[in-house]
Amino acid sequence: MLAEIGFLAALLAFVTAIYAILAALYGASRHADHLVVSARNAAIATFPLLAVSVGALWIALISQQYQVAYIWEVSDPNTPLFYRITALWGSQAGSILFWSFLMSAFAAAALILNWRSQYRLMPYVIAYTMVTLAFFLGLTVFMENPFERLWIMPSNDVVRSVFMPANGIAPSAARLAETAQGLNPLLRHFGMIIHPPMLYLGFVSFVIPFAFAMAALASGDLSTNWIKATRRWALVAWLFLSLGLILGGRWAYDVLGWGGYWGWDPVENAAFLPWLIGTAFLHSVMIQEKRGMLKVWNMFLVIGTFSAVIFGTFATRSGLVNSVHSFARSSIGYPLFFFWAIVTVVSVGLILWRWRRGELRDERSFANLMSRESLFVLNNLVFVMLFVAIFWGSFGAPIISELFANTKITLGKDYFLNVTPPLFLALYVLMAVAPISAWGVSSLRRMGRALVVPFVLALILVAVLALGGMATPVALVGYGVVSVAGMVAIYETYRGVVARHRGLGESWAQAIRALFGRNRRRYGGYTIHLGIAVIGLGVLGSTLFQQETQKTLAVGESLQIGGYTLSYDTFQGGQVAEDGRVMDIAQVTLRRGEQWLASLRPRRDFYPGAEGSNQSTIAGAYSTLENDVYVLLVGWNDIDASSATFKVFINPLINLIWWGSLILVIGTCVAVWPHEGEPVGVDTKVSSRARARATGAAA
Amino acid sequence: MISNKVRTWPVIAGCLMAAMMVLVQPAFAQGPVTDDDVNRVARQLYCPVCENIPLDVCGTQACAQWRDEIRLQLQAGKSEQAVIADFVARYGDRVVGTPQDPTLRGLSLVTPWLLSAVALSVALGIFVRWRTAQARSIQTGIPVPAASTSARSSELTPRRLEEYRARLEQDLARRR
Repeated sequence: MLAEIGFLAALLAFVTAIYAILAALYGASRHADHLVVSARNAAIATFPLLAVSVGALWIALISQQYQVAYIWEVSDPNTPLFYRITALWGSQAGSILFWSFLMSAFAAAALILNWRSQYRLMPYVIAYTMVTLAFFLGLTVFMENPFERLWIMPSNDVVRSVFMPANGIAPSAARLAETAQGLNPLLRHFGMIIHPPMLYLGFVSFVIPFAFAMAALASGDLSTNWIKATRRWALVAWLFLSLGLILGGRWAYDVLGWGGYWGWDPVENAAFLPWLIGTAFLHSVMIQEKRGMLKVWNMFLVIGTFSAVIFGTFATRSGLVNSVHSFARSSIGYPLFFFWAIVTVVSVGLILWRWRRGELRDERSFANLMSRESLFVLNNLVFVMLFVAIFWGSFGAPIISELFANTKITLGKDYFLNVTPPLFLALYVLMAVAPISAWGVSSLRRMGRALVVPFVLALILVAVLALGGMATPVALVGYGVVSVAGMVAIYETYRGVVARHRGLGESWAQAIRALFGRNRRRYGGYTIHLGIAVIGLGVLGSTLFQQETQKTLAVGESLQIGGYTLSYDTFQGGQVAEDGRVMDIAQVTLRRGEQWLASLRPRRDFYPGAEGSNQSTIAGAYSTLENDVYVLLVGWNDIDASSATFKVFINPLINLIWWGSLILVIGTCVAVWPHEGEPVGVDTKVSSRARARATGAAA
Repeated sequence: MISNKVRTWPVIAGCLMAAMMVLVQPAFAQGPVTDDDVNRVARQLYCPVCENIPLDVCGTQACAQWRDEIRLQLQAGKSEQAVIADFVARYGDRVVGTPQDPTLRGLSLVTPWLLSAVALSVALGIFVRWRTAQARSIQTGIPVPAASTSARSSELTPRRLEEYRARLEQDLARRR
């Protein structure tokens, strides 16, 4: 019953989305308001319909309905409730349905919040969001249906169908439960509970700025309306995408057991590409808002971001490249590729059409190379160069070489570590300089004055590091540049607070609150910059100064690394956890000098029922702000575990990456949060009229 | 007779061991091969059955076997580069994550910079054009034309204007 309900709700949502597209476009062309309203209602209705569909799948997962093939594939009777819930996105079919559900939620929210203020754009916004939704729902309904059930035919063949085929019988529930495959071991981690939904949220929420941009092009309303309407959507999308990437890094660090958080895996890169273009867009869009410039460029960036989102989805799920994410491979590659190609070509075509008509001409031109808009353009260029370099390494070189050179070039970590660092460094330089430049005209002298204090502070830090024994020039330059970027953010905020404290007599706390409250965008932005600088320090430390060693130890023996001593104490093999996995755990003691620090338990988990990759290596880690001591159990003597092999990493400053990420999230929330009294996307004219009425009544 | 044979065996074994020591001296001269030595090489290789995980941290059986093979080759006195070259010869460029052919290698590394240089040139060209247009407008006093923010009213036909007015009136009437 649950399968039928879930499938019919998804089918209905698909039909409703198609209706919304047709009604919106016909209504817009005929100026038939009632049709546009009907389209809006249909678009909003997809959300509750998909909530029913997703709810049915969740209930089926929780109540262990193994006749549903998807549930049989991603769970088993030993799967804890926690992972039953997260198994919704544990494989292809469920994750696509979940993706559609999130997209419908965002589309409904955007339509409700912006309906009156952006009425002219709405028919096209409905059309674009619903085209995307209908495509993904089409995949669910016709290709990757999570509601298909298993049936046994008279010929003993097992077929998959939502509805019972003629002469088909349901397999025995006991047999199904016994043979159920369980969730992929790599996905049984807290990071995987949040990482995919965050990434999906980031991906789907970028549909909203894209749809508004396309609506602006289609409707001819090429003012800054679409930008104002979507600024927060873009920031929210960026926040979710950032969170998705950070949590993915944390998951890799904890579960994949390579001692790092970013392996330059093509699928990781596929998620990073929209983030790069999206970040460029967030900066560039300010130029259009403030100066009326870069209209065509902003359109290209928003299309580029959405195009990268769809391409990333295609790359992850088509098997285009080898990756640790290959569990998501399936046959939906071709439809995704065609959808990506059509969306990109149509969108670029629309831009070129408007551009040729002269409707995307800039209102001002660049006056000064050191002006904020010029520096933002430089920042955009660096982001695009990073995009090109990473795209080339992940997809361009392998695909082009296979197509034209009869060989397949695969570029690994070395390529990315050669090409990207200068570009990242350039971004940090711009991050230090651009915030202190002015719109329109800016002089080098003025900027130099504003940079003195942050520069001196950063110089002191570098001097301290050099005196402390750091002799690597690359590291000193890196720390210097990243520190200046962070110091600029701190110093500019400090100056604002001091000005309020001295000028208005506010207490320090009041001054901070008022400063952030009055210009959330600016100071939220500084906080984000500070977060990025802290992340940069963590990346530099953990990349340039990582130490590692591997040694086989007998019980009681120890190894030394970076001033730490690690002793092998005991081994507990064959521990069976509640979810059925078998854990082989080594216990080690970590000391620094004579001081006891921690007892760590690195382990290997083995999942007897799982198909394919059926084990995971879970590190034992001792974390401080200074570094992580990260211990992996590589192997052990099979007979009595009297000896075991350990791989130990010292990852300096790695925790700054997670702390910096937290600062970044706080900064983005500050920037997104509306000002007091500012409506969230509703009709400002109506609100002011209502206010006027209220004032009149009071008078 | 038997006792003589027994006495000669240790002599022969000693000679053989001495000969082996001379033959494998380069390997012994480097000291025993540690896990760290193996990992230093393994870090530069990727296993074809694994997916983008370096060989030194991959937990699969296949990768463990490859690491054993690296150890054997190092013990046999091969240099790190020779071991890597051997793996490339047997399994292709994919195992190192970088093309070994100098042309392909050069192309792979240079292409993103070339593309970026093109992007920079285009941006610079646009900037120069803007500056020139601005300078010209200052000289001639004719402002640089700005875009209309929506469809220009001159492009609207009388029929469409009428339609628009009618809709506006309807909206206003509804609000009243």
